[in-house]
Amino acid sequence: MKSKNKIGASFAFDFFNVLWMVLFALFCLVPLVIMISASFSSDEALQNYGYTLFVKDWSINAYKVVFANVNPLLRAYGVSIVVTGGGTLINVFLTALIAYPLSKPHFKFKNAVTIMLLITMLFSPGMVPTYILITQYLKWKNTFAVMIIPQIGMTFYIILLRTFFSDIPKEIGESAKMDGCSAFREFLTITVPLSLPALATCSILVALSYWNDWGTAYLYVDDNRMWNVQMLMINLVQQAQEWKKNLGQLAGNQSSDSIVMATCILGTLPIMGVFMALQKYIVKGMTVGAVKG
Amino acid sequence: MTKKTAPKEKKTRDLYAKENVSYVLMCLPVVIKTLIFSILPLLWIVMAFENYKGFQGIFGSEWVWFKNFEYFFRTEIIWHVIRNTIALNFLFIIVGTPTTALMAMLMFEMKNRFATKFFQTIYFIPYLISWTVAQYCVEGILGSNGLINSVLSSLNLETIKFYDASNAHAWPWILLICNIWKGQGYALIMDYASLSGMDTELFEAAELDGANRGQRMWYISLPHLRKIIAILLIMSLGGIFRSDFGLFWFIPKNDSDRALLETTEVLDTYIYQLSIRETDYSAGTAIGLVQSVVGMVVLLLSNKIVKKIDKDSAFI
Repeated sequence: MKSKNKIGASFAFDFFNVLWMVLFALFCLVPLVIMISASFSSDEALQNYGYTLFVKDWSINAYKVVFANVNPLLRAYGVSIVVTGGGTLINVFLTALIAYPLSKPHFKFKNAVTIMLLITMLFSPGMVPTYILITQYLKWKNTFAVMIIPQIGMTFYIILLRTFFSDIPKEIGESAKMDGCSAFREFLTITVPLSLPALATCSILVALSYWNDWGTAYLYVDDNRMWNVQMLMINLVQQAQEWKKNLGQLAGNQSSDSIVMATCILGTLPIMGVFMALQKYIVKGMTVGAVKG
Repeated sequence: MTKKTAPKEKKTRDLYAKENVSYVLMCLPVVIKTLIFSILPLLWIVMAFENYKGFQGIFGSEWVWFKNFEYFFRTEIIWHVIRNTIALNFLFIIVGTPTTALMAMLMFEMKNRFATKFFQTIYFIPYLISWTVAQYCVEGILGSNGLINSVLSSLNLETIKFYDASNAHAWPWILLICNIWKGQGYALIMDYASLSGMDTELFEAAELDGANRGQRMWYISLPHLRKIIAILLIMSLGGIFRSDFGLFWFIPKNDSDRALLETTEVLDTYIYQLSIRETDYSAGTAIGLVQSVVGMVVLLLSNKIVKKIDKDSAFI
């Protein structure tokens, strides 16, 4: 009798657990559903019925308008892809490169470097001093450099990789060294291939922060030929109106909400694809960094 | 015996010396970058103590010492910006930390691996969406013809003007919901990853002893999560004077309408408006300095407290 009760309680637990998980999943997805359904609605429907979860009046006009004025979007894609692709490669490589010596107990300046990194974590100079440095002294406005370099070598990722590297059995490296393998070669031929899951985790998170980095562009990019996808998103309402005007579709003060939503979807799809392709590494890599970091 | 090991030791020492050179070279790129972008700008903090004029340069401008701070703590607006910053951060921490831990434990109780993966992926999706895009989603829900108002008007009820100053009191809760929506998936993975590193024997032993799942969560999972919760808590307390800029800038439309400043303006957005938009660099640096100093003190203090309670859970 008692065990029967227990099974019943366990079943109830599972039921409510899954129910809660499903409800939270719906909460996560509702804004996206609205975005998708609005992008496939006609602007008249959006104005008359408002936003709905299901499309009331199907129309692909929004996508037609975007593709007829595709140049700004392509240009923004170009900038974002260069920054995200190039930036992630350089960033993760250099992060791994500094994490490697920090995982070696006999590295002489280990403490000095760690303390420097800790200081940057504890105390930041603030937005304005960095702004002055970049705009007045480095004169890096509207460059790829400003969109890539300041984000290189974030302490969190250095710690994550350092922890992963120090778990690699020492014997593998030692024997290679006795055969005259240099530190750099050990790093490239032994450490890196053995750490691919952790490097993948870092790469996804770094790529995501480059792709979604609107802050840097907002501060340092005023030339719209150097706009990344996020800058296009920020100025989307005016852009959408302009695109409509180009096609002679603008009637009165009609809104262009569906075009805004369609562009939002197009701007999010690439990073979504990268995430879906590499997502199995996220939990795996975080396990290492989070537990022992 | 000693004869044999001595040359080997020397060999190791030479090797280490040679390796240390390569190690230094490997550290250099990130060290140089950090020196330029995190240490060098500390110089410009002197702007906080002068009346900085761009053309006079950083060392040519007039020194006013603590005038910037004085002026600024005397204005009323700053206190309410500080209140917003601290209150909203506390709200996020107090609601966020337990819900994340609870959800991670519940997810860990779900033994179906496929289901766990599935839900994790769904919860992570909002994290991929930037605030610049999310602002249009939020408007699609709260705007004048958004989801809520279209439901209300179809029921012949009065619509709500969420973006109007008269509804500013609702915004802390709206921001809280937005913050959970975007951040929960990421925070959850941290806690869940920690749980999956746990020894499963404990769980099995508890099951044999007749512990139910609530007891298992309370007595085994939760104590295991203590360390990661402590670390995340210290980090968020250290950021008590900072905010997720995009959330507070775009979601309540503080970039354009600025109707909801009363409850949504935080130090970061205030500094941006003051220094970048109104080009008062000295004032912006002064507030930024206060922000950094307070952040550091709070971080070190909370680390100390955690260390006292549980030595292993401390961060530094």
